[in-house]
Amino acid sequence: MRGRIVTGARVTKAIVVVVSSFAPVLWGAEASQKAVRITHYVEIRGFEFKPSNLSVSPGDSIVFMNLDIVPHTATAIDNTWTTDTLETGETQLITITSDSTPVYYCIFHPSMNGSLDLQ
Amino acid sequence: MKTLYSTLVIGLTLMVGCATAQANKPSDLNDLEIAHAAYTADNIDIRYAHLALAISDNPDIVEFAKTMIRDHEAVNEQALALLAKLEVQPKDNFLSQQLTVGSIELINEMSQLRGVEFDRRYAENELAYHKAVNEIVSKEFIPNIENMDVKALFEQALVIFLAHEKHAEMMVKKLSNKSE
Repeated sequence: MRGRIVTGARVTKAIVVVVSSFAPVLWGAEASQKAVRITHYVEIRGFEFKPSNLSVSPGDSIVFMNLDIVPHTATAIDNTWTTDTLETGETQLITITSDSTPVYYCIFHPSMNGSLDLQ
Repeated sequence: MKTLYSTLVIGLTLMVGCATAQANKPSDLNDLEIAHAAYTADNIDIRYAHLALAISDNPDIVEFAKTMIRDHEAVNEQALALLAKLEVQPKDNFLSQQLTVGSIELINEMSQLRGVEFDRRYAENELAYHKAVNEIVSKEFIPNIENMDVKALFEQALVIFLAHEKHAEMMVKKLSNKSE
């Protein structure tokens, strides 16, 4: 259950958007010395990761949210990172590192793919 | 593979042909009959998956079968919840009955198989079954469903079943490269 967020979908999305929008302000002075860490948001809807490609930097996080009626995962192609099984409406946050495998899929539905552009 | 698909399509066409004489074809089914046929088709695939879990040792087959159980149960759960909300009951019909008869024959046949022979038969049937069902869902059911909530659920379900079809296709391809 790494970092699983069990709050409702819309609430979680709102928090992510707020945190993302204010991150540079909140971290103010620190931001000039450290890279700003961004929280990205990926919806799983209609058996697709949306967006299917994301530009991310090490230290950024991605919140995966399952909006389908069946469970999904977001799992690195080499299984080095994965969400838990995300039931309908569940979300989970994954933190990206410099060696995170950039190609991922749903372990239950191998035709679902997503990718990360590591900056 | 092609033969299996053709057989299924011919079978479904015959069903439609027989049914026409009785003024019954998939496009004539009402929403409650469509819901029953879809629920039956879901349960049949769950039964095939349980058979696969009982017989196969192939990790790809086992994972696929688990996915079929998980996804089809989720769709059925949504369907039952919607029917409960609408305060209606699904209605048995010729298509549900034909699907059930066909599945019993196939389960008997597949039960006799073991090893890669079973795996290939299961995978090929999953591909043919999903192709045939997706054809009916997209061309006969969805255009004729009157209730908007039911139509929306079928549209969501079709996306799921199309992904299953792709997954089955990958499995068939992988198994065809495997030596006996």
